[in-house]
Amino acid sequence: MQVRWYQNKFVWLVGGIVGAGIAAIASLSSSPTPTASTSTPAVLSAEFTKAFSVGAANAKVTVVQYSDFLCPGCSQVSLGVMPKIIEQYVKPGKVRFEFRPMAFVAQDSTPAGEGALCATDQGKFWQYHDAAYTAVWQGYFSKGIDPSLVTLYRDGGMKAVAQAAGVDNAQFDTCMTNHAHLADIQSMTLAAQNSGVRGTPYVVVNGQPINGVPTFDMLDAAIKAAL
Amino acid sequence: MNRFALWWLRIIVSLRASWTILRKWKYGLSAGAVAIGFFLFLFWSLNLNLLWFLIRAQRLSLGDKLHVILGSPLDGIIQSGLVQGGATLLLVGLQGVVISVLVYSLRRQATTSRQAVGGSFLASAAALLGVGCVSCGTSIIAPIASLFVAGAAAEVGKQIHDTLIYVAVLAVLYALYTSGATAARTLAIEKAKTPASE
Repeated sequence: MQVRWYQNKFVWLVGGIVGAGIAAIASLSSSPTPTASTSTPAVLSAEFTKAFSVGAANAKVTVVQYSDFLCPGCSQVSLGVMPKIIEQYVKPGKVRFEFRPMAFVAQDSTPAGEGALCATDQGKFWQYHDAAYTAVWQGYFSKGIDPSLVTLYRDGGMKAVAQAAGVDNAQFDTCMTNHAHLADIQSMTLAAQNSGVRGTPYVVVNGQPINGVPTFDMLDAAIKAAL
Repeated sequence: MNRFALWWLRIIVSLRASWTILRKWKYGLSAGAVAIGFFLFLFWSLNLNLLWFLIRAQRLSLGDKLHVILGSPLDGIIQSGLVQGGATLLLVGLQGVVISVLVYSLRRQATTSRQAVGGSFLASAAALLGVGCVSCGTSIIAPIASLFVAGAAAEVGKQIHDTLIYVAVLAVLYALYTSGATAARTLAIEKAKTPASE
């Protein structure tokens, strides 16, 4: 007896798998887009917005990077890709770059994020940003260690990162001990998630989102297309 | 002949049949095209919106577009490391061979191996699920894992994610074996039909 194609369980199984795959990809690649105008969560104070940004305020293109200090891909972007973008586009005034810290990847994400805000109080956000990503990349991610196993901020690494960032230790320690910015980093994370950020790194170029780790060429092309 | 020797013989016959088909330029070329297409799809699957945006961008020249669309996946492979990158390249290359061999059998005999099609689809699905980073939330594995193991979704998801590329390679190897076996039968039938003088 001949079996028609639609009576074949195998065809339905394969069709189901393909359909589920397409739906999953479609849902990932069409995640809600935080546009340049809405990329700054309302909870971010003017002080933080200014501290986390570099470049001309009236630049034609805005690049926003949502990032967790315990995310391996974010380390790659922050240490490898963004410095080139800053050199090539931000310094000449063509692009404004905004960093949005989040804390959700691992247990140490929250103290790392709090540290970033405590360093911001002393005007040392970018120094802390560089020191934190360098420490976690060199000590863990370059060796393939999972973020959940990072103990940098529990093993006295916070002091080393703070020192590398050049902050005043006493003031920084007081800020960390009092959890002065715990609510802030939690609010920033929630605000980013509410605006559609499901994972990090998540980069937005004038409203055009890029999921995962972008290569320099991807960002370069997206910026050129937007300029 | 013991079971192992028979199994080994089948693999040799299957690989030889696949190689015979790949030497025909049309099928060799299509294997390469499928491999490149699958590779590009895997890389861009997380950013189909961006890909479409770049394709339509009027400010980018054709050279710029080709550079970013074809060059970025190669950078991505380099970033992903030797083992993961090598496994991905092996997977996409074998996937191209399997599809090409399947098409050959389908065109000649109007038949194909279910196991080969299933293995190829399984490999594609596993490879797609393996895209992204579980801990960072850019992979679709963690949400799926959370349906079954709510508390340890990230950890379980990470373990599944790390093994997916190897599952995909095993699946495509199985597909290669079964599609090659079908192709060997197709080639044998063709040879039997060919007059001895030719």
